[in-house]
Amino acid sequence: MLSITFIVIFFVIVFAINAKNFGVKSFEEYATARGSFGVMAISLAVFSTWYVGATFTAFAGYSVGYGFIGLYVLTYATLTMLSMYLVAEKTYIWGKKYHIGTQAELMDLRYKSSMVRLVVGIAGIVFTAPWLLMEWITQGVIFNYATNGLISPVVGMIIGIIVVLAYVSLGGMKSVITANIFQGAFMFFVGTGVMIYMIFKFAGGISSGMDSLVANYPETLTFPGPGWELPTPFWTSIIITSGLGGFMWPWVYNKLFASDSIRSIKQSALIAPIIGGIFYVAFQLLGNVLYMNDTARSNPEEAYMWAAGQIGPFVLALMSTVIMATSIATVSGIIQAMSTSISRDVATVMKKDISEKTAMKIARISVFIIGAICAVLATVDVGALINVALLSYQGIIMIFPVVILGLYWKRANKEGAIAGMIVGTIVSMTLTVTEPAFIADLGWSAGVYGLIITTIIMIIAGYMKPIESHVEDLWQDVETARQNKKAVSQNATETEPAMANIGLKNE
Amino acid sequence: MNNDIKTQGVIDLKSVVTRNIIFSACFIGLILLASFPGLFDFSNKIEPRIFSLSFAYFWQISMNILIFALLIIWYFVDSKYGDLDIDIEPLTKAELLEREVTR
Repeated sequence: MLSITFIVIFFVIVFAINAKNFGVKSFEEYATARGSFGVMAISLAVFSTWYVGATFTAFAGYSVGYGFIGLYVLTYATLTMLSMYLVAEKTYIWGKKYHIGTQAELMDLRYKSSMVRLVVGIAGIVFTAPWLLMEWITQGVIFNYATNGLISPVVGMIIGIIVVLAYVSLGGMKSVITANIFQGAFMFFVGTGVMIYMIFKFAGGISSGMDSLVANYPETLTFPGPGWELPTPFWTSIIITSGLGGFMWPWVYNKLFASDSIRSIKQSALIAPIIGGIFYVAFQLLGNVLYMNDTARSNPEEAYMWAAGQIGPFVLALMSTVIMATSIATVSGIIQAMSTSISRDVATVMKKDISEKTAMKIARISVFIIGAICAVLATVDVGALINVALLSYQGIIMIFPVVILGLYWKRANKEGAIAGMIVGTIVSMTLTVTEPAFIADLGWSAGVYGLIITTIIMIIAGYMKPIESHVEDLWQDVETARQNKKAVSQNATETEPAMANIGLKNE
Repeated sequence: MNNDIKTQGVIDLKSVVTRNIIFSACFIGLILLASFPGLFDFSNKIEPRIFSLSFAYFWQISMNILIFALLIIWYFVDSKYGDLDIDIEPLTKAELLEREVTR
């Protein structure tokens, strides 16, 4: 019962810190919180949203079941931050100047195409859906485990749904990020601490744990792991597709619109991977150590909860709350992004004269419709969902060239973006479903082929048309912003010689 | 894009584009060391063990630490040239309509 008490206290804190945010009336505030969050908020929001609750359950199959291969998440998470760093400047400048609220809307501005907005918006919603389902199932499982079966997974899932829907629909982005600050801090400090403590309890520390693994299970310390035959390109593929696609999830990308400056975004791109890296290395080492235990190895999905329970009810309660925090943080971000996207990227495109009030209403109603649909669908087998969720990376990655070329290459145009996304996704999905022999033999995942095709199509289409005038205007916006900055900076340095002396003077 | 890189033997770090190209290339190089066939295969072994970790673990964690360090340097270079303090005034509704922005 200690676990459920901790979870309830956790929910109460989430509501308490959000009380002042409830009742947002403007759609812009619901979608972006009017760009009011600073560096720590954005860092913890990206960190807590990005690591999903299913990491501890469904995806523990990698770290507990095979060992080293689970470490791919560390490298791909770091690669994801390259995208964040590169998109920061233009996303912020255009986002603020043109009141942009979603990733799809940003692409509409760049390509001047409602169709691009619709395709990116719908792709974001469709590819995100399996993750939402999986997270809600995870919450049900955690409730069930934490209460020793007293609360069934379905009831647990419904409790989780009600909590998230309530604070997202009432507070929008402001509630989501405020809660993320608490959730992220809890995940990092308590989660990492508990996992390191568990490594010491189960293996006597990292060093002795490694010694035992080298002596008894050396195959778990290298790729691909025990009983698995995989070529190296598989490792490369999962890092590239997940790393490049990882920041394209609308529920992660849209956090940038809530940021108060470019500095905050770029500082977050430094802080988020470092705290995420420490958290994940602790998770991975614990999973690898748990491989040595027969019970954990035979049921990796429950290994972290089981191991925490073996140490005692207090550790189990902490671990349950950490997993719940991880899951709730992701789900709230997904729900907020999905509802914003339905209102702003789908409804607004189909009917242009939607008022602010109606847009807000659509977003709030969407929250409950998404919740209801997912509650029904979440009765499916979680094993099947993992495959669908992993498959979604092979689709979301097609947004990567559309975003990066859109932000950095003037020639990128809407024809190339639409054709590239559609053809690339079809190629990727077809190859994944049909699984031709060369996929297995060569080891490169279907998403890599789709990504290459999307990029080639966009480049060819780019050279078939001259640069569009609105693109020149957008580039001019960035240049003007930089020049204004330089003028301000120049004035500042003239009055602050000390600053100039330490190399901060802008020429 | 090439115009942004001075070719007189000195790389002009004042240009945002040049900086992005240089740091992204270093970043991708480190990612490739951690993942690309051949380069990754070199590290995929247990010995030599460093800080008690298998070499494969040590290699991955080291590459990530180097990337974090690179990001920090990138950030400070951006900061030095004042490119983190750019701000812009939001357009009014009338200005938005004037710019024919589809919203």
